Amino acid sequence: MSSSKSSFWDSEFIKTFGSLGLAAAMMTLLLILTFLGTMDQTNMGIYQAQKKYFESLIVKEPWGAPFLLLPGGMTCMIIFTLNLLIGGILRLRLNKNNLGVFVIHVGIALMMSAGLVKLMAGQEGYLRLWENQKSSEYISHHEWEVSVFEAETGNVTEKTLHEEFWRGSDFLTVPPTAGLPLHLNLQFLYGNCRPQMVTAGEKLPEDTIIIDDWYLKPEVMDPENERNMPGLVVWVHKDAEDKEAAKENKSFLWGGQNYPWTIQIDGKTWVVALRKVRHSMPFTIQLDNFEKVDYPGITMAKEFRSDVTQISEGSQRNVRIEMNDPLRDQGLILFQSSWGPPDAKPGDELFSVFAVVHNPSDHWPLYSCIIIALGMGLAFVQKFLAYGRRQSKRLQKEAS
Amino acid sequence: MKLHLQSLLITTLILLLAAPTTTGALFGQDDQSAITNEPISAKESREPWSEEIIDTVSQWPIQHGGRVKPFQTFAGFLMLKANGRRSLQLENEKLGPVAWALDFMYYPEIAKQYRCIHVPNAEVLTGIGFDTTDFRRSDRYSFSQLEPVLPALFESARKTTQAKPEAKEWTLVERQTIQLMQDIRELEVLIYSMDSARYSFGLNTIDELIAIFGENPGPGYSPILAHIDEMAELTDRDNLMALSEERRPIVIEALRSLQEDLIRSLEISSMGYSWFPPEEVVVTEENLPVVWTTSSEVIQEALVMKETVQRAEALRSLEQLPYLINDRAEFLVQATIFGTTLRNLAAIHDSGKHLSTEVAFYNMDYFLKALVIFLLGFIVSCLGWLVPQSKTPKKITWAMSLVGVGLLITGVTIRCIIQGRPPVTTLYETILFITGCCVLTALVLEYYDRRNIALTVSTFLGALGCFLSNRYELKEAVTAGDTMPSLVAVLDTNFWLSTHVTTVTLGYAAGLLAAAISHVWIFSKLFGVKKSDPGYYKSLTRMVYGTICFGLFFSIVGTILGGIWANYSWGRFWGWDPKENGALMICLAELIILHLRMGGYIRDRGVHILSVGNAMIIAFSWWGVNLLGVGLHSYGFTDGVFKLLAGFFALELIVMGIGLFQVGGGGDTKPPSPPPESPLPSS
Repeated sequence: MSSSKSSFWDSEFIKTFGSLGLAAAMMTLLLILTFLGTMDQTNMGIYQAQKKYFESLIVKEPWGAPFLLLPGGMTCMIIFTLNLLIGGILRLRLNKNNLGVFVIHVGIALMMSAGLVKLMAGQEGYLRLWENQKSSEYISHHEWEVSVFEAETGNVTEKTLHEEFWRGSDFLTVPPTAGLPLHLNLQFLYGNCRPQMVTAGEKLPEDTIIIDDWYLKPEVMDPENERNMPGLVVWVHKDAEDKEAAKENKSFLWGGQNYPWTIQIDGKTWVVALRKVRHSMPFTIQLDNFEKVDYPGITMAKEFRSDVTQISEGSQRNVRIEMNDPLRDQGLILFQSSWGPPDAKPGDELFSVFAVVHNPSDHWPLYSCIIIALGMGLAFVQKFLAYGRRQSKRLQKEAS
Repeated sequence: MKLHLQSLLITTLILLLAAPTTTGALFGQDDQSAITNEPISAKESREPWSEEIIDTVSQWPIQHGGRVKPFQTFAGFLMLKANGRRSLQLENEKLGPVAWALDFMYYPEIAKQYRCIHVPNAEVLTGIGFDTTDFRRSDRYSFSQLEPVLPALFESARKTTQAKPEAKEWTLVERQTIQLMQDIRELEVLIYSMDSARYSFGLNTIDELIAIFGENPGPGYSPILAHIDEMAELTDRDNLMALSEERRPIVIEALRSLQEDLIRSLEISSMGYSWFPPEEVVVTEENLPVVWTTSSEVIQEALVMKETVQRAEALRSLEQLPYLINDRAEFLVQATIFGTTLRNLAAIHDSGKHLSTEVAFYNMDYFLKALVIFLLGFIVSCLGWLVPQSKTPKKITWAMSLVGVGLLITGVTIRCIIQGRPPVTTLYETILFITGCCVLTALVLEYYDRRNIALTVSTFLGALGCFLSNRYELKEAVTAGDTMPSLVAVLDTNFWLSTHVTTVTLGYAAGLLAAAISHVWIFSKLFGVKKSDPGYYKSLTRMVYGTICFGLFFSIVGTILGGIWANYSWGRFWGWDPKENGALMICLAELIILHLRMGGYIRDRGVHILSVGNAMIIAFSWWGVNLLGVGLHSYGFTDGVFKLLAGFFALELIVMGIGLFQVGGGGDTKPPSPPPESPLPSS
């Protein structure tokens, strides 16, 4: 048993997988990807570049180079982490000379796992409040959802459909479920578009969908992802036989529209909205006061801060949120991120924007930093002392 | 409130100030002639300012760019921005910034002839209809020469900013046009800053006013401030109504005319300098910044009966100065009163504590002195290589390097004291800090190695860094008007500035030092230096390896600390922002070098070539990412840096090529196989 275990750890495959060469290769690939992903941000913005280079398994046409394929950042980081675990921790023959290196590797592994946990279980968005306004939910920066609910009922039960279900698919039909006795049909059109009225004599592509003299005009994806407004077509029907007839009563869902689409079925009004994903918070935040303090004589903000009331079940407390001093509670962190309107004049009412983050590995990077610093300190002090000893021996030799 | 004139004035002022106005319109020719109906004509010739006056005026406090600074700093950056340098050579005299600014304030007609406006691109001038045929690229222009095309300049700048609100959309010529417009605007404020003192309001037009102000009340705001109560009484509605039928319209008409004059003048003065700290200390829970006032605001506050006694005294001294240019002894007295009163007022707000320190800092010119000393040290060190048996050059180089780095550290420390901040907050300061760290680390290496290599490198890097900081100071002056500018809100934290920023820049310094030593290795090999001494090459490699280890420590810790800061400020540890990516690339590059070396994949040559490559990555992270114009860290001004950076990359690629393809030479030690220090078992 132990020999088979030993042979497994000594196998060529494991040796290769834990080798310094593979570590160097993965780091070189990550270096190249980081450079390309940085340069390409000028073309596609941070969000798209992040998706393409760092959260991908394969990168197609990096920086516009045709036919070229590179392993994606995710692939490299997975291999690199495995390599680190195998070669840098599990197979390392620990002694006093490499104790520091071992500690460094443990710290890096912890940091990589912090990133993984954030990616898998983290959520982030924003909360925008005017003074005296309150909210118990925050809005995703980038993710969209389709929300369906029945209007005019006392207790609204929403059905939401995250964009991962409909983005990219031509047609999607959601069968009736509890609380939603309808077939919901979605046709994804564009990642970024604008509604346009058909003008007389305008020539449109044959497959253009026109509803009530309007159509969605596709636009180039904006590098600032928040500016991209997706567009869909929606229609609903109650029974299978209504399907074709229901198509006659379809509508566009557009990310920038101010009002949702409503439809009457069996005397009930249903509301369908395309909107950014909303996450609920375990407490309510009310903005009591927002203050932006400029440097004297210039319009640069020295600081901006929000006094809020955090209302939980049965209790409430006053908290100040300012730059570099967020509110942390119940797994959520609220940061003072921005303010507006940007064109506000002195004396105008302002709103405050909070970045809201749910990150189970919030403090792990700090722990990993401490571990890595200790490990590096240990390793390099050892090397430096050895270097000093060697040099003094040399100098003594030269002097004699 | 029964003060009729006051309420009338305030109402009108509010209306006027709320109306959209521009400095250009206010300081245009027509307005100027209307206001300065009794100007004191400038003398045909001027006398040089005495050192006492220069010293006194240097220490006048002024709130500008969000902080309180000495007038010398303000004038220095204004001159640097307009002129491209901090001095102006006249026929018989060399003007420093304070004398130059004083000339614009007190001899405006003469100063307008000074050729002190640098326009780096002739296209800017030809674009607004100025004929540059008779000018060379390095020539400066005078205000008077440009005056005819100023309306075209302002119009061109206005059109650009209207069509392209975002600065990153501007072309080079458009950017330089807007820059010139801003320089001219600032010069105009300086030129017209004493105009209210030269203007005589109609304070002796009727008997009632003569009864208050006398036959000869004198120009400026001071007489009004001195008799504000009597004026209030005169403008009181009941008192006006008590006047005879015959006198009443005459008095009202005189007051109306005075009011118009005053409002117009106050409007112009409101664009002037914030000389005057408030006289009341308002303690707030929020610790709000204290806003200093212009002379216009002093009058407005006096009109609503706010405390202005000390400011009125200071204003009185200031307004006397244009009349004392022939009486330099009295000029000095009044300039001293003005400065002392303002400093005392500033002290009650706990500001302006470091004015004299700042004046002394700029007078000492630590970094220029350090540059000269490092340069001399480098020359001596190079001479020392020609006579290796002599220890004297080495001793001199040691002394010069220590003095140079001492000056650098002193200068950086004084900047920290003045700002109350850690040493690195701007790109300019990164150059100083990195230079100091490079020199110190090189000296530590030399202490252990004693081969004169690190010592020579220390003087070279010291001189190079000081030279670059000197050049970049101009760029920072152009954008921020100061090298100690106000910081954006997120950077306003000394804890993170002193931990993350200093560690990251230490990482840069170590990587650059390693690369510099690698250059020595590559060129020594190329020219066959010390062929017979394998210890020489081995020593260089050890130094590079050790320095990379040292740099990696700070790069990794600094990068993670940056992530933690981002996590505390923005809610995310890592956002793939270009600056973050640059820091990561440095960590990766240095880790690659160490792993390849430990794994025996590269020898000394490989270490040195990759170390030079690492310098390119550091340059990309330090300067290059700011050129991309995306992300949260683009706070440095990098206009014009592109060419320098491209040149650096080209040069380093050539050096890497030389390192890669050169043949022969000794010292390329075999890789450890298996490496004795390798932490991994051999595979």
